[in-house]
Amino acid sequence: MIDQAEAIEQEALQEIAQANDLQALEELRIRHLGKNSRLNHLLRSVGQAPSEDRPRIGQRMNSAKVSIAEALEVRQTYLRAAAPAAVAGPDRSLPGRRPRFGRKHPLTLIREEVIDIFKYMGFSVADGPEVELDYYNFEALNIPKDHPARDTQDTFYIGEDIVLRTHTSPVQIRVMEKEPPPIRVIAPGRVYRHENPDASHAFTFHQCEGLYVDEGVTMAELKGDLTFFARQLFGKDIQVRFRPDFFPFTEPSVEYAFSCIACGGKGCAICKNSGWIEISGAGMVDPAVFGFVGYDPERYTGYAFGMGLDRLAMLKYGIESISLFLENDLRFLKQG
Amino acid sequence: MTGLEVEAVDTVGSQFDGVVIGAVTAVVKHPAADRLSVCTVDLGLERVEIVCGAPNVAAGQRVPVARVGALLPGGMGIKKSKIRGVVSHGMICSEAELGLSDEADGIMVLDPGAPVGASFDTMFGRSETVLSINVGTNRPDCLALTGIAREITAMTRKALRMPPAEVTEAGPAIDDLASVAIADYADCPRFVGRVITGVRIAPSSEWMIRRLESVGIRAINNVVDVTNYVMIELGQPLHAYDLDTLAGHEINVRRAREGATFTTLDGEERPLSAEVLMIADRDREIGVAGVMGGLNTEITEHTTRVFLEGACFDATRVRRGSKYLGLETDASRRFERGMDPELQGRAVARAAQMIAELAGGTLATGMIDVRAPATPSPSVRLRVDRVNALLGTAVSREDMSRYFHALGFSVRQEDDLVVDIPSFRRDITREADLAEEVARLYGYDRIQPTMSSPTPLRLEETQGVARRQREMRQRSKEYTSEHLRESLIGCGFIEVMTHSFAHPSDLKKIQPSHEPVILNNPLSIDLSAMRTTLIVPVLGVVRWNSNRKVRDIRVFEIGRIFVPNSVERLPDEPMQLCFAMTGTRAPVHWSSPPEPVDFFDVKGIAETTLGRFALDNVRSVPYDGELQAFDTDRSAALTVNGEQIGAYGAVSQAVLDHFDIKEPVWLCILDLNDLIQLESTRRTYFTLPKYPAVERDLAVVVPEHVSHQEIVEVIRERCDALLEAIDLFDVYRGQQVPAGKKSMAYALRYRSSERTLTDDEVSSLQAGAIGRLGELYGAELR
Repeated sequence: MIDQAEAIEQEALQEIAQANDLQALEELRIRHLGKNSRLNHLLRSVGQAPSEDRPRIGQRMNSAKVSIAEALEVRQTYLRAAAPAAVAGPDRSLPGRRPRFGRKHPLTLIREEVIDIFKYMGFSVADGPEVELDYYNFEALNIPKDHPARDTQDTFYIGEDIVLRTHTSPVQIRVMEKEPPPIRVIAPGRVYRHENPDASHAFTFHQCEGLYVDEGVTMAELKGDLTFFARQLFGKDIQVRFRPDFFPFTEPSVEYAFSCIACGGKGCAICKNSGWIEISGAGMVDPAVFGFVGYDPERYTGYAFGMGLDRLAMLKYGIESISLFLENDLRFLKQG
Repeated sequence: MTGLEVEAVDTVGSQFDGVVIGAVTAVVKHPAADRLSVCTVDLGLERVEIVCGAPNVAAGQRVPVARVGALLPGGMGIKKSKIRGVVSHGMICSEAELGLSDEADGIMVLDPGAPVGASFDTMFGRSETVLSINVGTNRPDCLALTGIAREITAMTRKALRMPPAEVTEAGPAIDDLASVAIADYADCPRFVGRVITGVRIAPSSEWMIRRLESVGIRAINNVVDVTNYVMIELGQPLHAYDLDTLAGHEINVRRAREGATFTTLDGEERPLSAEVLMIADRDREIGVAGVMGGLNTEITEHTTRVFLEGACFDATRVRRGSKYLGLETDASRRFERGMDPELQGRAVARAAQMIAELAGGTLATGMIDVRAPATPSPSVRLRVDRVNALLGTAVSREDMSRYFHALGFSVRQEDDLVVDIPSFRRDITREADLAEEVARLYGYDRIQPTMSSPTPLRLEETQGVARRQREMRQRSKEYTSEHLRESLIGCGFIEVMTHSFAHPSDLKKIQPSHEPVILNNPLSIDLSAMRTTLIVPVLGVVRWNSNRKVRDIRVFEIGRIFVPNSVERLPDEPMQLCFAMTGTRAPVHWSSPPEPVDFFDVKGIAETTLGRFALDNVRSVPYDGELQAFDTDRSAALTVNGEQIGAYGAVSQAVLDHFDIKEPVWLCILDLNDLIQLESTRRTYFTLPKYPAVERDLAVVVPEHVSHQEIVEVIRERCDALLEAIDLFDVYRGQQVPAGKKSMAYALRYRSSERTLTDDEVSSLQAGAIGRLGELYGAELR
């Protein structure tokens, strides 16, 4: 039976190789692989062979079937290509001429998103220098020269009284010095800390400060406004949590967290199973700060908050290391 | 909830599985080894023989025994083994083997009272949980167990139990033994001392050693350990002196003499200054106040009489001293955050009594207490409505009052609350501080979020003029950046953001005559200067990517540079734009061979980018500015109305070599501030023309040195407003054009906004232009 199968295979392959049009090829397909093909008849009679031989015979017949099918396919492709084109014009699958297209940096993307949300809420954008006077970075924020809180912000110094700003908070003072209340501003920008970098720390990073001063500003509004922001950026179910914290320029001070944007608070790897993602610090403007800018703390209250733009971008775009932002590997940036 | 953030939870325990306390009942020499002994050890339920190599093993000792099957912290498994013919059923352990210390000389000998057969774990209470808590700089009271306990009791409405502070005094009157004087109460508002006599100095018991270890303090001896123990317990740093080493048995608190030196307990000799507050005896300095004691008066094994110090030093004074000496200690950290001036009596009493109990000895009668005249304890008025208005809550007067009681404050109820602030909470001085306490105890989670709304705009707004103007300025800066960003992204460029720091020599390579702003304390020399040009960091990005085989790099950055200002203290921070490109003009395509980027690619992109600003008179002229970045022959300065706003061209080979870049780079730099100033107000649209245009070509042969710009200017001048457009479409040299000359072919479009132009009119305009070109440059019609 094996000899028979081999003979059929040989014959079929020869015929296929000589077929000159698709029609003839189709006839060959029916003759050699169809229901009534010799190979099929042979296959049905395998049962008559001694049982120990059957697997071997069956295998051989199948391989004959496969090789005939392959030969049909190859010949079909060949005959089609040789046939005159059915349609006019170029090969549509050739690559087109694609102009190059650039990408915004992820920190630009997040900055634009944050600014858009706060502008919608009636905030305007303020700005300040990155090389800053000690007075604005510390002193007027109620962090005098000998305050231990200075140790918590490792600082680059340019001179005795000139620093690289360690936060965007000095913009608060610069704005309040220039203008009377009401104040409703955000100040996105670059800040510096004298730290050795790792996956979540960098010596250069980006913050966005927020400041709202008017008559009757409350902590409940701070919570509400941050909640609104969080929901605009991350989705409608985000909650904001306050925990007590300490900053010399706000009183009361809180550290605020968003309910986990990935798991909704159930606990996952991103929130380290806590259900919350710590964002940054906030609080009610300390009366001492109003003293520095000549606002009447009896008449006005205000809230202030910070947020890390790098961190928000990491959360929003699923970026794993803060070092990627300033490394500028185009293979990373091209994904933007 | 309290604001005390638990940073880590460590469980110390059950690392001693299979280690039990044994009593050595007999020790005999190993029959086959001089250095070994065979010990009979009682393990409570059984008695085993163990071979031991330690010289200090002796009958009667209580020792830790690793039984057969135990697994020691270092990973060593204990098996029954034959050592020189004697079977050993376990191992008597050293501290090193138990992972407790580096002490490997000899076995660990336990208290004689250690319970035989008990697990080693239970005796050391190692199965304890250690919480690492982050305490804000405003809460020095929480740098102590009692402070944290007070917070917890306030939250849980439980009563706080303080450690005992009773003393049994039996010795002579303290005034006969020692005296204390303070030079300036501003530096040291209070100094308390007690004396314990008849002390026997020895190592502390295991429990004390373990407890100190769990908070990261190394045990020293039974006196010093108590001072540290009480510091952790109550938050008051204490210091013990050997009374017999104090000259004149006196203590003086005074500033150091300028230029003196002093050897602290750690053996370091340190130079002093008048900034540093010192403790001195009659003759010499004996300690840096609030920071570290001195070697000359330390407790030694010979000490019998101890003078115990518990002082309140000024926070700033201690901080200055600590900073000056570069020496930060558990004590200095507590003092510089502000010390409770009422804590010293209790702390010294507690420690003195503990020393008497643990090291033997007798307390002298009485306590030295030198202090500044009492100041009335501060009280703060709280307006219930005002606090609720600040928080956005409706907490009742009664609830607020209850919170303060829970925190240990006393409250007088008047219309407002008058809260007496206890000495341990000197961080509270104002109503806002009390508001925070209310918020903490009420619960931040219970503050219901509401949204604020911006002040409604009013037509007659006059107050906000300054703000409007600032916003306009800010907006134009943002808009300028945004436009440039969009243009470059459209041209295929990827935005990068780089560090503001650079290596000074890299900056000097590009701008030899510029002095950058230099950091006092850079992380490294590579990051020690503030960038004065974006060229340096952008070339860094090109190198990084070129090294990683990224082809056809197209990057740009819009960012600040830092330029020292000779008048102002702060440098200027103008914005720059820098873009760079490498590789081929277009992405690989099968239809045409790749062509490398050239001068006119950079020029075209620079012009397209500027095109967004509708600027007139943008010109490129040979660059002769101060930047040393470009190849002179292949670069240009960009000018607007004759003023230079940037430059572009091929980066010179010298610069490529300096930055270790191995392929050609084309680069453009633009000053944004100039651009913001120049930004044209022309943002209006033109009416579309009503009359048809006349189109003509014009080819002229001119000498090589005549520029395209010169030709165009002549033609424009002659044709005036009627010339709508002029495009160069061919430059030809070769056959039919004499050597040293070139043929320039232009497509011109003429149009009038008032009538249809005639052929004759256009011909005469064109003839006039050719004539003028001939006069000026010897041009001929081709």
